[in-house]
Amino acid sequence: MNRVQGRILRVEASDEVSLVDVETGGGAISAVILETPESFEHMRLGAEVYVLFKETEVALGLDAGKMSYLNVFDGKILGVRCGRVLAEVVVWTAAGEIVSIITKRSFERLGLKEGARVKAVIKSTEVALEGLGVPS
Amino acid sequence: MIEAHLEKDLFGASGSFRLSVNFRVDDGQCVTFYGPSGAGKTTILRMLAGLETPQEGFIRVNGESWFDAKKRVLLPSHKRRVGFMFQSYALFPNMTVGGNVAYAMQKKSSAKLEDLLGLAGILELKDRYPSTLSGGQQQRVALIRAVASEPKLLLLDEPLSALDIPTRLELQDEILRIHRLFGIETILVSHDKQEVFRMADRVLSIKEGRIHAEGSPRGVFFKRRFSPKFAVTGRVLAIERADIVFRAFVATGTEILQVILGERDAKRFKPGDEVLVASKAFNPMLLPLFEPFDTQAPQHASPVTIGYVD
Repeated sequence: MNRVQGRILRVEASDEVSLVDVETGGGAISAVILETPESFEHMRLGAEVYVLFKETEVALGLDAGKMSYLNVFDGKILGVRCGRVLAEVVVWTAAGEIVSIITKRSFERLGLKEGARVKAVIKSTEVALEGLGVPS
Repeated sequence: MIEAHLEKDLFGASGSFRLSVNFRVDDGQCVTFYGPSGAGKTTILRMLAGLETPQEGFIRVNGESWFDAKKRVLLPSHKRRVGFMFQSYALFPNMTVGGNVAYAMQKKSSAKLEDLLGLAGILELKDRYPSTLSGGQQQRVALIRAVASEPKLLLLDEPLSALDIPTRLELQDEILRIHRLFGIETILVSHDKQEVFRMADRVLSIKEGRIHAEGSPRGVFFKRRFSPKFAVTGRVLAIERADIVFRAFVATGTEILQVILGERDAKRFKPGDEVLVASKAFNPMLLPLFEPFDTQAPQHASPVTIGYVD
């Protein structure tokens, strides 16, 4: 699981569905959350949270192009562990370290290697929040 | 209304601790004591029933004092109008169902007895002996026997934990129905979150003799830091390597789930750990449980859909 610390920057809500932008210090991460700031106090503006997302929800690309993803981070590959099917790639980004698990096939197809520049891409519907502190 | 303050030194499996609780049950409410075994839940019920004496405190039931350490009041057990239901059915084996229920009645009357048995839907079991009944039927008898004495307080000590899940759900409804019908203040002891959620107006979460959370089941159980909507508690059974990732097997209720972990998470957890298995509400898929999934093309499918063979 990836866990990046940040602060609630903006919430756009419709019924119980909210698009939440969390400022991480290295760019915002957006998450679609089935709550409102009223129902989930950790979503109030300024609240401190961890942004949580699984390694398997992080895609890697050479450029993000015209895609629907809201969360695209520039990064550099710090390390790689390859299995027979999967590859675990550690990417350093402005928001901190992000771990991605992709297929080894994709890893090879993109010609990725340690030190290479990549984009780490996360679907906003796969991003969860863990509350840390609520502003008084 | 019931008000109680109870204090007593208890000796648990992990040493001694002081039971110290303060609580109130409003008119017609069902309140649950929720917590792990050995927390003091059953002791509280026994004190209310007069089977055990607190060292300090008081018990007041609709203004009447049942116990008061300072004023040296101690109403004996048989004078407290309490209905009790335990996990073990505790029916008299040598008495019929009718006999068991009649035994508890203040004023015996066969019309009243038939009314009670009819209310519980067990009139046809009247002349049967407990040994010929299923667990669920025995608990129906135990429930109606508990209210037959017209108690001021109904105490339920894990009454359904020995039953299978469908019977348990049925009996939960039955207890609620009887509780509402008679309007008796009810205290339920349970360590089953689902049961508490379903049955309790208020929950008092108790640990080592202290109430550490109190409120509606929603407020107590969902006071959370995590946003995921698809979450169950469970216990890690095993973590196994699979390619470069790890598979955690997690026991939750009657199911065993599998969760893929990266190496770092795999190192954080070990078998036996209690965990929350969480996913976004966006992620899980719903599949029909019984129908084969794709024996029929969807009604709204476009006629040009190919790959469908009669």
